[in-house]
Amino acid sequence: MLSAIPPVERWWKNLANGRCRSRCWQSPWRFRWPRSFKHLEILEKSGLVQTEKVGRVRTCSIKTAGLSVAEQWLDERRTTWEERFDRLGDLLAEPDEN
Amino acid sequence: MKAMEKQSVTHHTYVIERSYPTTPERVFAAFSDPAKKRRWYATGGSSDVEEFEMDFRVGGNERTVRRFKPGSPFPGVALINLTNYQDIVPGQRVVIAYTMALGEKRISASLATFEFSPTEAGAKLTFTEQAAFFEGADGPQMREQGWRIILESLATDLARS
Repeated sequence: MLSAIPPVERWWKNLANGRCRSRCWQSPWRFRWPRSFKHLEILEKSGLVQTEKVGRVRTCSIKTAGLSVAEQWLDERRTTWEERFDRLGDLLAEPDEN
Repeated sequence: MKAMEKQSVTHHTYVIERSYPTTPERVFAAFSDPAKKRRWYATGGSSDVEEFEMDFRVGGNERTVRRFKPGSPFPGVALINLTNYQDIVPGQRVVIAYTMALGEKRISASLATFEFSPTEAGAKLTFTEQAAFFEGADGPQMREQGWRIILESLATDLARS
């Protein structure tokens, strides 16, 4: 389900890689706060995240029960290689030194 | 006493394809040149590179040690890749066997094949990984702990908005 929504997938991968802090929600992915809440709703509906709002505080937690340990590792492995091949593309786009 | 954790191995094969507007030879060079390979392979993501050494020849080894940054799912934990080059055909393919370990625990052992082929637009890279993932590693518990830290900071950010 997530893969059908590229921006959310991107957001998810960055969150999974521990790189998503408040600033990253706005730039370079151009998320705005209200949309971020929308994304959380989508993630919640996908069964991967659960959120709970008490007063002004929303608590989020990851539900990994649906995935086996091996599936979690596999997903992470594939993401790692995809990011490597993205960086390879950036490197190949540079002119050669000589 | 806690019930004995089930130990098992799960096999997965997956393919990633990419096209680059350059020649297969230049893509291959990014694999054979250690400085180039370090840039796209070892750096980036949520960890710092502590060691990277490679001996690019059939039978040669490669060793990469990365350490997860604070705020990542496994802060301070070492991620170690040990690779052995199984087959090299310049400009055409590279085949490696590698293991990945998180701290003291091996997570997986894999055979990975990189194939380079010319296309009208440039070069196609086909990556096939055949992996055996080892369950029963303590990774999931460490991951859960890491997630908790990340989500706590996310919750704090949300509360501030």
